Amino acid sequence: METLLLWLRPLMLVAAGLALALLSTRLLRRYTAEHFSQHQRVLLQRLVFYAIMTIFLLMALRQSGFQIGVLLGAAGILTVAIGFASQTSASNVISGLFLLAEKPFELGQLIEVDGNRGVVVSIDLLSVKLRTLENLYVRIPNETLIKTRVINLSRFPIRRIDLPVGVAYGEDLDRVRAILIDLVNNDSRCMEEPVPFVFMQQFGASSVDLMLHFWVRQEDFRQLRSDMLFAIKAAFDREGVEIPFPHTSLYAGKHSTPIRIALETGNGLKDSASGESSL
Amino acid sequence: MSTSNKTQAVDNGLQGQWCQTLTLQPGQTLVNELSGLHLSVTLLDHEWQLRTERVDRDVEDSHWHQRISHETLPDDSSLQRFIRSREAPRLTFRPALADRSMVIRPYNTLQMGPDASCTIYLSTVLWLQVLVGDAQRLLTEIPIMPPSSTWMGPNTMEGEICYAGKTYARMLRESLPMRPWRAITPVHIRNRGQEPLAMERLSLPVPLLPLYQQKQVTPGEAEAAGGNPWLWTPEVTVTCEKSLATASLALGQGAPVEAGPCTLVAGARENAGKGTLVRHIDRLFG
Repeated sequence: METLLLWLRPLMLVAAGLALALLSTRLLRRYTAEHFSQHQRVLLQRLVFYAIMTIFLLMALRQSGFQIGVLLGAAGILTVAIGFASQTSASNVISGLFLLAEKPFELGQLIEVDGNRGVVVSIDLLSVKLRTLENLYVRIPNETLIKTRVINLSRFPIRRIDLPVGVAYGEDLDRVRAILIDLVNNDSRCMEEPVPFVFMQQFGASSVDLMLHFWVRQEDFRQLRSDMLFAIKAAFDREGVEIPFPHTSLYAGKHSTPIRIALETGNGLKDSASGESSL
Repeated sequence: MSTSNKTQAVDNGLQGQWCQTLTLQPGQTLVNELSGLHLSVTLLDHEWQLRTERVDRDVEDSHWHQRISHETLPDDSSLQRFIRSREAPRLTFRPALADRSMVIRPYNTLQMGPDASCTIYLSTVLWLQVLVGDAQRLLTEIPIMPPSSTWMGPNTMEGEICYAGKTYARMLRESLPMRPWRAITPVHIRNRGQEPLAMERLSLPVPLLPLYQQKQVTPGEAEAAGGNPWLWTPEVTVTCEKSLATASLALGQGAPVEAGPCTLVAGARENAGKGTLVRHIDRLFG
């Protein structure tokens, strides 16, 4: 009976601590929604949860007769042993702390790491979890995030869209530029400033390569990029602007000699003529 | 259909009015044509239906045409359905200013000498709020002419997304063209610096401004505005002490003097707290 009581009290303390920690995080979640970002809310909830649990665990250990000083000494030796045994985990934990301090991204932001592009759904002790645009769940160790290049696609409110557009060499480029700028100006989702512009990139193999640059709200980026490509195709069709594609010309030895073309029917050779050698 | 408040309604060929309450019968559709916006509101037994269509117009039509239709409209892509709780079949259209600051650029740069001041009149496009029932529950709001977006800030990292507008920066009230879907803001600019001031663009914090409607209009003004009294915001005073970077902004209280007696039709969207005002002052001029 005495032994049962000896363990019952610490267990009750742990249970009470758990209940209090859960209640506190729930209250924090409810009352901090307006004033803090999602990222800050989660951090605050975890901090409060672990602080309360640590206090109650220490109280429970003290109730059980453990000497906290001895425990801390033992913990020191244990830490060295565990540190050697779990270098990767320790590295991830430390990397996680650096990430928290540096804050290169927050929960809910769209990032790209090692070719994985997704929304940050969780920032944990060992790893960061992403939900990709294809709805895949990707776990990235914190150490990787420290070592590799991370692109935050949601950091700034506006983004620039760069659309490559190729037109035939015979087209009037001033007219093409006016058509492209009009398309941007007529879409109210595109920013008037920074001013949209058309940049001439190069004389390509089969087209004059232009680049249309314009700015949009970050959340409109994907949709507007697609919508603008549709609009460009429709506008070029309407205005008779040719979008060229690569052509291949075949020559039968000499540059100037045309290839002979023969039409065959069921009865054999019917007609033959010399024609244009391009196919 | 019946109307209350202001005008007598007939079944067809109505003249739309702000804040006028209309009563529809189930199955009826109220079709509105406001310049490039065509808005149809249908009342059914258990729902309200809204359909919108945008029409390209070279010139703004200053008349707001309304008519009642009994035809069943198709389920087009613009259809929005709203559950109708046990509210009265009444419908009100209320004007509202934009929900973001308007960055207004004069067609030609306005130059101001040292120690000079002037008042220019800027007009900003309105949103149409659809309110239903006796409690005037807000169903939705639609920009009558959707303005383009623009960025106002020192670089592409700091700043805010605003709406863009153009102005002729008229200085005479009499020369203002009247359109019922625009609100007029008198902007008083004072250049107290020793350098000339070139106003290329101005950020007008319209979410901080309430909206007033004139009580009295001259017959000419009423005709020009299609029977709708003019809409005004309080005067905004911009003072440049040394340079554009030190410009300060003050919002007037109540309707401007030149508007005459007015009634408040919509409060400011945002409270003009100190922090908000400072934020706007930081990005007053481009």
